[in-house]
This record gives sequence, structure tokens and C-alpha cells, in this order.
Amino acid sequence: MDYELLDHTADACIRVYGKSIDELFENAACAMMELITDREKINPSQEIEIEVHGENIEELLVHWLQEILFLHEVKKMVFKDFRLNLISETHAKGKAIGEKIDIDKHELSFDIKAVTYHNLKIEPINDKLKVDIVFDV
Amino acid sequence: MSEEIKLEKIHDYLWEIPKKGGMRVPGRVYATEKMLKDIQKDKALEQVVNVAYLPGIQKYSIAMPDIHWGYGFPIGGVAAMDVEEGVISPGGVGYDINCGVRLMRTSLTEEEVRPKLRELVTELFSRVPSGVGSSGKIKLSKSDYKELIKKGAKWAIERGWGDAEDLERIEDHGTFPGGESDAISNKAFERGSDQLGTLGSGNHFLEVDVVDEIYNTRVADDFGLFKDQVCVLIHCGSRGFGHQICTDYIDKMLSYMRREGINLPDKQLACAHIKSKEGRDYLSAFAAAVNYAWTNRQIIMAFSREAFYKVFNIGPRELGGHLVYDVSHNIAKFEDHKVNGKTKKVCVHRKGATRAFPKGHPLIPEIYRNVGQPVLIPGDMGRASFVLVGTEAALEETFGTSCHGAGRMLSRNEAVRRGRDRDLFAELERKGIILMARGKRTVLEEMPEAYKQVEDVCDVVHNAGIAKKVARLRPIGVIKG
Repeated sequence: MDYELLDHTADACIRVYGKSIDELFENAACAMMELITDREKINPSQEIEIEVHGENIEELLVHWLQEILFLHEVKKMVFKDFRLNLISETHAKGKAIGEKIDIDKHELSFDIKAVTYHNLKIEPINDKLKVDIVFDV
Repeated sequence: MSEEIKLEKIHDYLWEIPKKGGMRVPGRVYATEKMLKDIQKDKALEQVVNVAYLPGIQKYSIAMPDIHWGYGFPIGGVAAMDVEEGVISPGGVGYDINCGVRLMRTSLTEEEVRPKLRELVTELFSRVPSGVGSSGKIKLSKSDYKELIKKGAKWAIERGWGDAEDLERIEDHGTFPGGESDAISNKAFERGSDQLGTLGSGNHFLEVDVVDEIYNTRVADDFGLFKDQVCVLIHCGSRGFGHQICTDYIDKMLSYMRREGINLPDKQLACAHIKSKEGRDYLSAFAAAVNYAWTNRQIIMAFSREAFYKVFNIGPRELGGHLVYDVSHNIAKFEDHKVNGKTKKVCVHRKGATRAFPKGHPLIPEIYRNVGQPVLIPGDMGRASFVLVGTEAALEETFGTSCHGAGRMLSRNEAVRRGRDRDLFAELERKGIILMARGKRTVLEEMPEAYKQVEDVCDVVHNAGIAKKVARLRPIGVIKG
């Protein structure tokens, strides 16, 4: 998975790479989930469909991650994998694959309150795309 | 890095960032020269500058000594907006709307509590759900929500969680007017539906503290504090309900800004004019979250009282569990302040900053009117927290505002790296502190060394005169998320 954790004094910050927008979005979701729990321990037994809209590509990314966060918090799910299909710069469909939280199996280490727009910009770097995302924790 | 931002010294504890570029007002930072060196290591000062771009900002973009790098606003930031032409910014309040602190005093002393301390902390830990994704026993229906978001802490008291006396010791009597369900998404209702009466994780906590030192006996006496007294300090906010409301409205305000052609240096400063539909809608949803947070802290205090009754086999009279005060440190308030010699209504954003009104102010409870508002400043879990009192100087210089905590010094990752081989539970126990927590990682992130010395922060506000030290609290029991 192509991402790294960056230091941020009060919050959590990740740097994500991807060869395409689809991959960038999928990697960002994996990285966010990795902050929350150990993805290795998640059984990919259940799929949830996700559809998001945004006024531009950055907003679309934030909405995609917010939707996953919402499913995690409210439906009490953890996810191992993600698939994303970009329909346009403002519309995407995808799915999150995982299972219900089992507190004996999945240790939760972060309560992510929100995905922020702080300095969020998708940029090309060499033959890839790169984005830094700050989460409020 | 903020090193290139120019600072001019006003006095030993106050620095000014002169107005330049798109700044509408200068910046002002309360800190010592030594602290500034740390502050300049990240982007916090750049954020003070960015806040000065907001339409309608009055006098200064202000930073408290516990300032650190946030997103959009710095944490420890204060900005007052003109009500007619100014904006409201959800990011200037924060995701955790009405995150705050309350202090409950008791009639018990450390000597009386020590023998049963472990039992007490265990009881508190089992009664107050905490930790990542914590949910509680209270399930909120639509009709519960409808009342709660209008009544705030009063809703909890009507259901037996506390006494009417508690209400006068909460900012605005625990009720923020204008909470409307039409302005709130179903997602927000869903996120908050099982989280009432829970602490959450991160830097939120419940502590059993002892009054360790008194700096001002007369004021301490008026606050009901005495040496060796056992108190309970609670720090939490509006949980997923508030987080989702902030999330929803940042998007609404981004599209408002595109429509109105408002350009700001950071998207996370997203805002709308207070008088606009988006502004008004946010304020209705925000009010609901403010009320949720007060209800949350009210219920957690009620759970804490129950724990004391059970462990010490005493009743309310023997416990003397009175609320000292409840402060909000992620909030926007409509208040009257002096600007250019004239009193006007402004919307004061306090993002990681605490109201600190002086004696005589009409917005503080009658019981404290002759002494000033209690200002509660939590520190880290191993050292101390402080009680201060609001001052006239705060009203003149900082829109009646002071600091809110120690402020982080290490990132969470760095704290975890440094603490990997340490047993913080045992270390704290050797210092006489019993710590209980759901998450091992949270404990490492929250290790005392991850924070600035809260005493240094409080000394700056004390010396600058924007709040005065009253008492120091030392933790003996800590519950973390």
C-alpha cells in the first residue's frame, strides 16, 4: 500500500500515492483504516456499496473518506479493502469490504473525528498522484 | 515553518504580527520569548495570520500561550467578528463543538479518599464509558433529540441527572438558544444517538484531583475550594453529533464561498456571513451540538456522583458534590465587547480558548459576580491542572478570553515512538496516580511529556493579566479513552 504517516502536532496526517485517481482514493481509505486498526486482522466478509458526490475532485475524496468513517462509527464496521470507480470529477461509486467490529479481535487505536480540507491538494509527482490528508483526532 | 513571520514585542508576554497582505487586522500572540521558539517550529503562526483574513474580524487575530498547529484556525485561537458584516466559521469552533471542562468539588479530603481510591477509579471507569468508538446505555430517539437540542443540560436534570443548582454554574445556564432539528442531517443524529454520557478518546478524560496549592485564598474560598480537597475534573464535548455537524457545514460554507467569491488561504477556514442563510442554519445546528455537549458533561458528572455514593457509602449531603463551573473551549458566542471605544455585539470564536470574564460581568452567575468567572485549565495526566479567575484585562485585550490547556508539544506518533517501552500505568502509580484506560495507544499519546508544562502556560496568562491563578489541582485518579 502506497502511503506514509506524517507528523502533525495535534492531529493525524497521511501522505498517499496512487497511479490513478481510483487507486489514490482506495489507498487513502486503506491508510485511514490502518490508523484506526490493524487491517491484517479484518476478515473481508461483507461488502457495502458507497456512492459519493462532490463539487470537485478534492471534495469527492473528502466525501469518500467521510462516508467510510460514518459507516465505521455508526454501522460499527472495520474495512480491509476498498474499490473505487470514478465516474466523473464530481461523482464516484465504490465499495468497502470488511466486517462488524469485534472488540476482542480488532483493537481500535484512533477515534477519527473528521477528515479535514487543510492543505488538501491532489498533485502529480513523477508518474503518480500524491495527496496529504489531515484528520482531526 | 513560521519562522519568516515577523513578530514585534509589546511586552514580555505579548507579541504582535504586523498587518500585511490580505490581513484585515494584526495578529497578537501571548507567550514568552522561550515559548515562541517552540511555537515557531510548526505552522501555528501562519494560521494566526490566515485567521486575520476573515471578513469582519475585529481588533486582532489572537493566540493564547498554548497555541499549536491545527487546521484552519490554530488551536488556542481567538477571533471576534462583526455581527453585521462578519462571518461565522465552523472550523473556528472546531469539530468537537462545545468541547469543554467542568470541575466538581466535594467535601472529601485526600486522606479520606486514598484508602478507597482504586475502588473509586474502578467504579468511575465502569460507569463512564470511554475509549475509541465508545457507546453508552442511553439511546436517543427522535423525540429525545428534539427536546435535548433545545434544552441542553436542563434536559439531563429533568431526567434526574443532577440538580437545578448545577445549571447556574454552567456558561449560559447550560442552554444555548436556537437549536433546530431542521438544520441537522440524519447522519449527525445517527452518530450521536448512542454516545451521550460517554467520554470518547484522545485527550478527553475524567480525573479525580486534589487541591494541591492555593494562590488566592479569598477567591478559592468563594469557589468553594480548600487545600487537600478532592475534586472531579471532566473534559469532553459533543461527540459524533458535533463532529458531523461541523463536517456537514464546512461543505455548505465552501459552496457559499464559491458563490460569493470569498477567497481564503485555507479551505478549512470555510465560513459564511453570520446573517446569511448558511450562517443562520449553521448557528441552529451548532446550538444543538452545544446543548448536546453540556448534557453530556452533566450526565457524566451525575455518573461520577453515583460512583462516590456507592464506594464511600454516603449520600449527596456528605459528598457535597457541587459543580464549581463548566467552561466551553470550542465555541462561538455573541457577546458585547468594546471595539475602538464603543460597545458592540460581536461573535467571538474561541477555538481552544476559554472565556475569562471579570467580576461584575452580567453573564457570570450571581454566586461569582463579586469575584469573577472560574477559568478551568486542564494539564496533562501526570502533573497538574489549574483553576484561574477571569479579569478586566481579559475583557479589554482578548474579548474576555484566556488559554485552555497545556498544548501539545510532541505529535501523537512521536509520543508513541518515545513511549513504546515504557509502562505508564506503573510510572504514574509510583507517583500516586491510578490510571485506567481502554486503549494502550491513547495512554502513550497522552503521556505527560507530550504536553507543554501547563504551569508555564498559566504563568503567561497570569503575568499578562488575562486570568489570575487561584489553585492548582494534582491528579490522583485518571480515566482515559
